[in-house]
Amino acid sequence: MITTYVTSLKVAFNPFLATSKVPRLFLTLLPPEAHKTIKITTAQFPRTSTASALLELGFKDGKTMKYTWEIESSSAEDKTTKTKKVGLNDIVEEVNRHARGLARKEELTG
Amino acid sequence: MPPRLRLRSLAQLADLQLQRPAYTCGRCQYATAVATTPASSDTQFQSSIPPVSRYPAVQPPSHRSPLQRKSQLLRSYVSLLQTTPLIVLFQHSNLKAAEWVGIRRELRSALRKIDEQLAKQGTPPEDLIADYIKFEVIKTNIFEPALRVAEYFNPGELAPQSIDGSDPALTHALSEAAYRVASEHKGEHPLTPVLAGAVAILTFPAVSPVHLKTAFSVLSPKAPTFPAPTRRAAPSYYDPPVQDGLKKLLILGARIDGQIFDSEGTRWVGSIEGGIGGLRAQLVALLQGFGVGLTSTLESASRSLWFTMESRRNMLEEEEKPKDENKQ
Repeated sequence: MITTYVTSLKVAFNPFLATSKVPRLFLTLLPPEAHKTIKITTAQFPRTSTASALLELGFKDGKTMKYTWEIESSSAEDKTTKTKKVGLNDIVEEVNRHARGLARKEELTG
Repeated sequence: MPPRLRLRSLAQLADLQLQRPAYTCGRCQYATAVATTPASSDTQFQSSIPPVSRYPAVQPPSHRSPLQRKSQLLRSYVSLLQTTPLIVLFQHSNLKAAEWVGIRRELRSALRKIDEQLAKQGTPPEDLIADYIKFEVIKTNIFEPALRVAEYFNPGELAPQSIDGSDPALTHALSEAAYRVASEHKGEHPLTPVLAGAVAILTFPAVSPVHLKTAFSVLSPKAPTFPAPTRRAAPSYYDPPVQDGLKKLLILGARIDGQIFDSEGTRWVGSIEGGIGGLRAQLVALLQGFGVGLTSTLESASRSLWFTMESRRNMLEEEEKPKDENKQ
């Protein structure tokens, strides 16, 4: 994952829910020196909370990406809406795509 | 040249053994012929045979191959979970080796300092557990089934039909019975979502809030209750590798005496002053306060009754007095 253009990262989750999986795995994907260049804020909800997990990324050009994961309420609703949940790879792809675009822009201007 | 062995099928061999007459020597032939004892029936014969174990005692057959590394890891995790009352779970994101070394060193030195203090106060040596507190990275995909085996598999409670197929004597962590019980409870344990990604555990051989507090003040300092060690007391704590590593550690929760706590709950356990004794003192104070309140509440009814009666008596006395005066 290209993290050179990421400036801030905001994560909030309840680790006792399955929704916390992607934000937590995203934290482990960052390089070991990431906290020196990226402003990382982590918040944990208490165990009983049912708030949706949150992952917010800020880039150098001001773009922000925000993802939330809500708890699955029932199977009937899923059938009607049928939205695919955002996975870790989707986020990584999106970050990389934006980073490549920024790199290209930098190359052309400077 | 083929081996000169007469190959017989198992059935043939069994027939041969049945047909072979019992050996009797020539001299006692007569005696045996006279003293004929009634032959014991087949069922009697079989019931008297003690069950023969078909494996060496130290190598019981197991569901997972004992030669695999992960089977042994599972065994070690199960025994860890069964023997360790206090486990704190941390998330670690890409810590470097130097950072791990630094953090473990600081943790060990801080805990040893606490042990020295406790020893001076006259704590018995079995409560000095600093050297047995370990901070290690786990394999979550093995730890999770190990947790299920430790939590749900109780060899004493097995129903007789559930151990039908396998030997009832086999109740170790790798046995088929353990596997079956654990797989019945797949995904049920509340710690299952926590055990995803990179997780490290801090294990305490005894529930000791003092040691937990020290560990927290090193690993995730928070000003009022868990102050970080001062620069003068522990200068190496402020080395860049240690500080960088601490930023990447995150408390997720804890398993204390089989109960699950979130990060705040774990901090609360760490903040109990004076361990079990402190908790008892708190309880006593609470109960005493409660007792005082209760007695005053119970007293108030009788006291008010007494006041009413007393005032009534006064009234009556006052009424009687003027009558007496009139008579005179």
